[in-house]
Amino acid sequence: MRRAVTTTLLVLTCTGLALAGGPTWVKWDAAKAMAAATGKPIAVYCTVDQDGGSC
Amino acid sequence: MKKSNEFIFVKCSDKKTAQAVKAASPPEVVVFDCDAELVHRRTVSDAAAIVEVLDAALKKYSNSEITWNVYEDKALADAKEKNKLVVLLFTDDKKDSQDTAKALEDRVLAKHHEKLVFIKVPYTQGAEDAKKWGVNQAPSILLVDPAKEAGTKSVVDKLGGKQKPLAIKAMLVKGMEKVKREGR
Repeated sequence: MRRAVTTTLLVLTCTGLALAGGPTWVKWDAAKAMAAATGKPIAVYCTVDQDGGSC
Repeated sequence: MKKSNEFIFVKCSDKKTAQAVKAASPPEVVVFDCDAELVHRRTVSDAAAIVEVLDAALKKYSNSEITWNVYEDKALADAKEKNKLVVLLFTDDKKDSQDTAKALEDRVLAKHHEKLVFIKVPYTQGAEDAKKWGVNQAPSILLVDPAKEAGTKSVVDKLGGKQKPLAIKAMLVKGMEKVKREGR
């Protein structure tokens, strides 16, 4: 189980690649509404900082 | 993919979102609770680090056990002294009462626990305590302002019957905000 998560997330680091079977990504505003309705936490994967600089 | 079901995922690759989540050092994972309040953040250099961040976040954002006080005048007086609101839970020995007590320990409520004093009251239909607080079923959750005279006048809000964590949270947060607005 852990290996599947690891593989999926690994390819997303900085490369910008997507992998079939990975997590469903939603927009920040939608995530906030979903979290409030379900109690689930939000995990944000950032590839840019507040100035727009990327990794 | 176990963690896919446990989180709502957001990919932050634009400045606007980065500013909203205060992204600082990409590549970074930032985890928020259901109120969009920060739980955990960390720069991640590899996949193992991402899994660690998610695990650490789940550990921080987790259920929290409640220390229940016995129903007596002293417990209410102590809460008043500490300037905390009281959650009175009227319970019986049925499953709905047990489930509701458990729901109060849910992670969506955990960060509010320290602002409250929890008191369990055994419920008996028609009993003096039930009448005093205007309760006619178990479980019932009452948010009480101990600064006021004990009884229905001090009840800020209440819920009757089996409740889910988010419904309890909505009632408690709304009640706490109401009391705060009144200057307490």
